[in-house]
Amino acid sequence: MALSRDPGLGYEDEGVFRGEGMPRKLMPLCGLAAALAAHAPARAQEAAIDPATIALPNLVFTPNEGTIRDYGKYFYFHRDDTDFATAMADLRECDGYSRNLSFRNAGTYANVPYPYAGTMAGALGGALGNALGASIADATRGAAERRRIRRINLRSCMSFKGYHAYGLPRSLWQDFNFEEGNARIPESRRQRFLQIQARVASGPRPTLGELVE
Amino acid sequence: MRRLAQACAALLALALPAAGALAQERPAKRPGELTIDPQRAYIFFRSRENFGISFVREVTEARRPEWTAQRAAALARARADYDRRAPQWRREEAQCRGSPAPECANRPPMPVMPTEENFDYGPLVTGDMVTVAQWQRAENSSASFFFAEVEPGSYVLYGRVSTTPDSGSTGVCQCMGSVRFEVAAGQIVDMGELRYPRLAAGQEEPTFGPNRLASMEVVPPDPSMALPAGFGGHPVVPALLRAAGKMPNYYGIEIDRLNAIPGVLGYERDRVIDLRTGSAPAP
Repeated sequence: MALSRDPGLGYEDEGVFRGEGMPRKLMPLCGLAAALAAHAPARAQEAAIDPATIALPNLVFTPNEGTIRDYGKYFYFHRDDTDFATAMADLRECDGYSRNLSFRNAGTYANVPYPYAGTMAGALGGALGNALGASIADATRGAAERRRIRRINLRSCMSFKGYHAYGLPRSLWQDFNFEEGNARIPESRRQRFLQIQARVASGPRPTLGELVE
Repeated sequence: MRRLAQACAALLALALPAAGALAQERPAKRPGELTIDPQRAYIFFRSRENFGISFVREVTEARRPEWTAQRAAALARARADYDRRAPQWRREEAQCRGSPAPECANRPPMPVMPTEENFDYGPLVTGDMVTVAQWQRAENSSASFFFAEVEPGSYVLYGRVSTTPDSGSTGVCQCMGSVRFEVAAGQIVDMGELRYPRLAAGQEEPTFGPNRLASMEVVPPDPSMALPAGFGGHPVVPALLRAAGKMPNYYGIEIDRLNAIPGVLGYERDRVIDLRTGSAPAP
């Protein structure tokens, strides 16, 4: 079976089809749409990246109970004896498996209460209320679930590749990482973050916060 | 979290018919009604859990000419769609320039022209994603038999997936390492038993260390494994399992890989190894 260039089939900034701007109701079709989508041109520019031009982010902190508790949410990767280009390719592959996640929370359906049930206005109000409720439910529980699956996919993929995960306080983590619950970040910003992550992953071995399981 | 898992399980159960809508298989026949169509093929396995299991029918060399022609037609349609959408997108973009309107704040991206090089034509589009659902309970056992009639061909175990219009897709794909097997016309092919080690251990989330439990495991067919009485005298062929490499996350769900299978499937880090040959599996 031929593997697509992007295992997640995600080309949100370039593709004809993408999740952003698409109602979550259509997200189940994302895989189908993405399979139809035009793939972006090959990202040949990565061969030209000089890791020396990418500054290492601040990874120094004093762990406390709160930061340690959140290591499972805010982490980064490192592997010994790994060059930047390899780390970049690995991170892109794993990011590809972790983007355009499909889960949505539809919320709970609420019947239109008497005396408006059965009228067009009541039906419309109920439909709007349900749509709004579903939207709110998805923005909270659905988004949390998408963030959770993204974390699982990233860690599964990178651990299969032999990388170790290290926790960080959120304030440092967000300088070179991102979550995708409701909004998706622009592709250029995503790629920039992945470059910094690759710089870290192929840099000096971290001394703090390794997640051991 | 447990509630979420229960909700997912309920959605999975609800979603099976929806997932089946994409599949090519015919509804499984009731016990005692089994007739084997010599032009069709049959996938069979056992499991203690009632999950619909998805398989990808591969584009083999024999199928490739037909698939290539269909892909070309689909590409032409996508190109025509792009030719309609691109000018419309440019017009709307010009109208939105500097506008505070909400619809302008969340503009879709500029469409990209589909080309021979970048056009993907995957199994969800071609109808080559097949779902095999529970067929009947095994006698004197907590296991169930799973059985479906499919097109003859080569199949890769994709994972457990369910899709509903409201909740999207849920499940786990074996995107980073799985098995393939041939199913010839007129054959019932037995791929053994599917197990769910993580579920059996009560783990809601995977762990990532050396003791990680896989979401799914294939136990290859063995003569001691039970067969449904409904098969009667129909011969059952053990699946010749071979390693299959990575697959895209078509549904945007959780990813995993099958447990290693002695003599069949192994790994060097994330590299899938066909243990029958000692090298990477065929693409």
